[in-house]
Amino acid sequence: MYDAIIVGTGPSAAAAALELKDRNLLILDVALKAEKDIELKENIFDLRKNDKDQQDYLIGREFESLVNIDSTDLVSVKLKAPYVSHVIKNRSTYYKIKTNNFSPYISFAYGGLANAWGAGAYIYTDYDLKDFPVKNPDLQPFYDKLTRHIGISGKDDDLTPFFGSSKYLQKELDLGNNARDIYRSYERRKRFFKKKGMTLGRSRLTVLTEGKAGRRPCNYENTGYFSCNIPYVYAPTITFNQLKTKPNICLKEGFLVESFAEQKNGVTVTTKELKTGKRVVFKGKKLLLAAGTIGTGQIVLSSFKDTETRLPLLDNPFTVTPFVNLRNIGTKIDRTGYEGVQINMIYEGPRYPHRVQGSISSYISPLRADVFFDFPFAIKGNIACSRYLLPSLTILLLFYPDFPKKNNYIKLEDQNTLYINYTDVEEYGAVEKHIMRSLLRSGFFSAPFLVKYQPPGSSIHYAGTIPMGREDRKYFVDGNCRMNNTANVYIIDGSVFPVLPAKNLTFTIMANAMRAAHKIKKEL
Amino acid sequence: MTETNDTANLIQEAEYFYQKIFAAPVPRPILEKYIAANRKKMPRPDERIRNLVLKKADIEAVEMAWRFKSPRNVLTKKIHILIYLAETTPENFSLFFNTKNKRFSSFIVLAGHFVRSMGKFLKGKFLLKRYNLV
Ligand SMILES: Cc1cc2nc3c(=O)[nH]c(=O)nc-3n(C[C@H](O)[C@H](O)[C@H](O)COP(=O)(O)OP(=O)(O)OC[C@H]3O[C@@H](n4cnc5c(N)ncnc54)[C@H](O)[C@@H]3O)c2cc1C
Repeated sequence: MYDAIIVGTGPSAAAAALELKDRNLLILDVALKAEKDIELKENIFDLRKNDKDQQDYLIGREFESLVNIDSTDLVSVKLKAPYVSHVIKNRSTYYKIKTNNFSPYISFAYGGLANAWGAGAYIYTDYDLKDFPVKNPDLQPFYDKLTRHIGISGKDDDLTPFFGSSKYLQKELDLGNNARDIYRSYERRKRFFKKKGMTLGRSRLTVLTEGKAGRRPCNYENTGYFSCNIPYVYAPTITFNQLKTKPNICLKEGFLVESFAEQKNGVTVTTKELKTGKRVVFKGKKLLLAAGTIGTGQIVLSSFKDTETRLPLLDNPFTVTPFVNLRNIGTKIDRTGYEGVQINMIYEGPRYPHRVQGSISSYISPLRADVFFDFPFAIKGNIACSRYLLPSLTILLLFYPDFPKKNNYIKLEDQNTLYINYTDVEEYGAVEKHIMRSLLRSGFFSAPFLVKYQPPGSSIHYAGTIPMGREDRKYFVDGNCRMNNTANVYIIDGSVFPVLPAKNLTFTIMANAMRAAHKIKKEL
Repeated sequence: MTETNDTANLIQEAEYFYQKIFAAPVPRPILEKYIAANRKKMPRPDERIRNLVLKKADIEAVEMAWRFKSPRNVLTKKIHILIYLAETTPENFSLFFNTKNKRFSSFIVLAGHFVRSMGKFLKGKFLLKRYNLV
């Protein structure tokens, strides 16, 4: 019998496994992988200019990158490249998913969704945790431990009160042209921005600026949209590739977990071995479910054969606002900036009752064709826009918090079908207009009709299905993430968040998973 | 329609579209991929496209007006496939990426395209009716 069984190899599983690395561990995962594990070592613009074989990783032999041309269920630009698309492959194959007003991104990949993540790693402060039974000091030791393991770059600035101390951080990445213009303008007009409720600062990213444990620092190659194998960006596979060499850790790939059952002194986990179709049962003293919020909810409901209960689903609503940086129209391609988020913004003011968090990036590495028909000109005009306007394009993603609502839930329709409903949605736009007016003074132009309201599900920040806090009820966990009415079943992913602050959640998912594993370790 | 006919039509449309947009004959690798991508993404041949190619319609004008009426129309999808393939061909790098600062001239180029696109749009609205596309 194993000391503990962990389901999944995503960030939550990685953090728990790291904490339990000296125990006798079994890790179960479907573990889909890219057809080829490519590492693109040159700068993306050099590859685009010179590499005759670029269509292999940009478009794909099966035209994976053209997926949005004939589909109405649009796939995020970050998840459609041929050597990235495995991250959400088979997302509705192992069990059927029916949805109403929700685009679910579910991963069965080795490393989970974080193979393709934006690498934004933010701690939750006590403001963010006000509806949680845990507080920042409970999590801080685990944030610190993870920061040292992962490697996070960032700096102390005006966002420190929102993002926490910069202890253990590596130095920040260099700013690209558009980010530099915004940051400088903010520094010059700080009083004006503060009056408008806006605070700006540098992002905290799991992107190395200094070498770490054999991984090299970022050289601004900007190939992250086309490969999951970027040594300077943390992915849980980095942790698992280290851990699986240990004799006490067994990673079983190709196993779909179907259900669990509590036994005397432990838990049995029923899986389907995907190669043979055979049922295989494993036994452990403790079970840690880290299959991602939706996956874990599905496994829990299946285990109780419950087709009645609706589990609440949280997802950060978000909008995308493009800005044109008037100074950079017609400038040459930006080889100096990082392709991901460079600047964050917190808005706190009368236009929305809670804190809102923004991420600002430039359009550096994605294909020009991905936005080609967003320009309003004839075809040749759109080619000119790709060439002259895109260097000035600055994108603001604005994330809003989410709270449990009656019509936002997941439910089992039958043992094989998961139903996701997300119809309680708010109207957004007031904050975007306010930010537009404020940034115009800095030379960044946008207009309300350009704001895109993203369909629910597309933030890929999911939480809340089996929340912590209510000690007495089924489908809740206690403060240590143990499921109520069970002795040895723990939920350690985003499922346990009772609410979802407007902040990237994964670093807190990881810290909380590590905290739970720390408690479990003491019981083993 | 037989596969040979279908291939001949796809070749003809790729040659026509590419010439109109990039003022050059379509390179063979792009042509081959265009055919394969169309087979995968839009397996049913569309007579309306065939007609536009045969009549040598102003493809930019028709596409723009059609896009404003119905953004996911078949012509825009076909041109989109061609743009994906053209963009990822090193020979076209300088068409899509600006390698020198051209602040002033880019304003003039973009302003020119604004005026040109308005003209194309008006012409396209007329052509949509003429070719019974809406
Ligand atoms: C494009 C993109 C950008 C993102 N950017 C950010 C960001 O900047 N910052 C941030 O905080 N978050 C970001 N996220 C979200 C982040 O990736 C997720 O919050 C995080 O991966 C969740 O981790 P997890 O371990 O809970 O689950 P997942 O990453 O979903 O992993 C689930 C694991 O469980 C396995 N699994 C699932 N079901 C089963 C089953 N039945 N049997 C066996 N194994 C199973 C899967 O194979 C997978 O290994 C982003 C996500 C995407 C896709």
